[in-house]
Amino acid sequence: MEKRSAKQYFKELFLMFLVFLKIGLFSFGGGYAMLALIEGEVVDKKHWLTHAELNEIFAIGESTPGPIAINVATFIGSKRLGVFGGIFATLGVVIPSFAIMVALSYVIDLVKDNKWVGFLFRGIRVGVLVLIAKAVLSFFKNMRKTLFSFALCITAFVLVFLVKVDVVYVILGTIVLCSIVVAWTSYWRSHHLHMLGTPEYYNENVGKSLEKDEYASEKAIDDGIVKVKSEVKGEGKV
Amino acid sequence: MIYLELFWTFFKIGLFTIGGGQAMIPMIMTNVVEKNWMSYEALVDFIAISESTPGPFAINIATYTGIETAGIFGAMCATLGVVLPSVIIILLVAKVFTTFMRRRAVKEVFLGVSATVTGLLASVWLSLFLTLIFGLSISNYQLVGNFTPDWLSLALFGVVMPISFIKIKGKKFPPVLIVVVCALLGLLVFGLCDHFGVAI
Repeated sequence: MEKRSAKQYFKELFLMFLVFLKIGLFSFGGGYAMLALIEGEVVDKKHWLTHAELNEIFAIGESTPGPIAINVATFIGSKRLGVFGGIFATLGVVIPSFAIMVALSYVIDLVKDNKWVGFLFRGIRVGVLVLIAKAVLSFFKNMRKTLFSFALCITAFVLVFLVKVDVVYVILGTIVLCSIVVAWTSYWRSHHLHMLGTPEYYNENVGKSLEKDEYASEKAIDDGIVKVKSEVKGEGKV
Repeated sequence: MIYLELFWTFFKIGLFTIGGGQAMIPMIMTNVVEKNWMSYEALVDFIAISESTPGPFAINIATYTGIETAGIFGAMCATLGVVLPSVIIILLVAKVFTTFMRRRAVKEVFLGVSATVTGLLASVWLSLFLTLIFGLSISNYQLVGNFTPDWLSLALFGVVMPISFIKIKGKKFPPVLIVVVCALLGLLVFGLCDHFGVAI
């Protein structure tokens, strides 16, 4: 956040609100469709962020709870103008939706007993079936194809479809289970690598697995492995 | 109190949705229908409406459920509920946890959650398919309900599903267009049947 005078700050807040009002008003088809619009407004026109920054914000918005559109709006707003920036950006995204839905709910109440509207909605219900089928396919496409992922997917399906467990518990359970598995794997790795941390072993095993690892190039790699790597290579402290 | 209940239910939904609006559908289905805030059919209709109106799906559905249940103030409570967890979490993340969120361990956990959400969505789809097309549902591990197949809807699904994979100028077939195509086909097919006195 840069330093601004109070007047300038309020002006920027209002601008932030307007930009996201526009985004909320013209984005059809959910959070992902919004990316293009946000990119156009925030990166290309206003130059508030670079493409790389926006991509990172999107990645974070995807992996934090809540609707992506709201996450991204809050993040961009707060990054530029602090807490109030976040709140105004979110208000901007929410208000068009809210107003349109309120208006629409009156219209639906007026026409819902009409015979032709009934036919229309019988068709539309099939559309929802198509939309959700496509959502399942796209989630499946993005799912990592490991035995563990398939097990989670099938267990969740059975628990909710047959046993009727509350969805919240299924998601909470997944978070707990995955945390345990990740913590255990990371402990196991660092522990065993310490044991076997000779240069030959590293070149044979760890180096290869690191090359294959999709996250290996990231800064935020497991501390354990970074430590072992530096020890093994004799490069001193990281 | 209905306002508090709306706020709390949607707060929970907002808090446990990971991976975008569609990941929210399973939780909304169970919560909203079980509490008798909306019928199953009304909710399904509404999913189509909120996919074809601008704005985030989550906000649309929270607002609509709120207003149908408890008027405009109910709509505000539900919308505030669904937005608040996001805003709080992101403000924290933006301040403190940016590096934390980039950690591989966090990503691994979220990959796991997205696998679970795949299963949840598949379950929603199958329930919906059984209910809409065959009039059946699952209860106590058994299929219940009268077997009343709706062949016209099934045929419509068989026609629209392949169409939805068509790419327009290299872009995905937009969801709004799926809804519009289905609405028009529905008007045409069911209207014609009605006109010629075919039982539907």
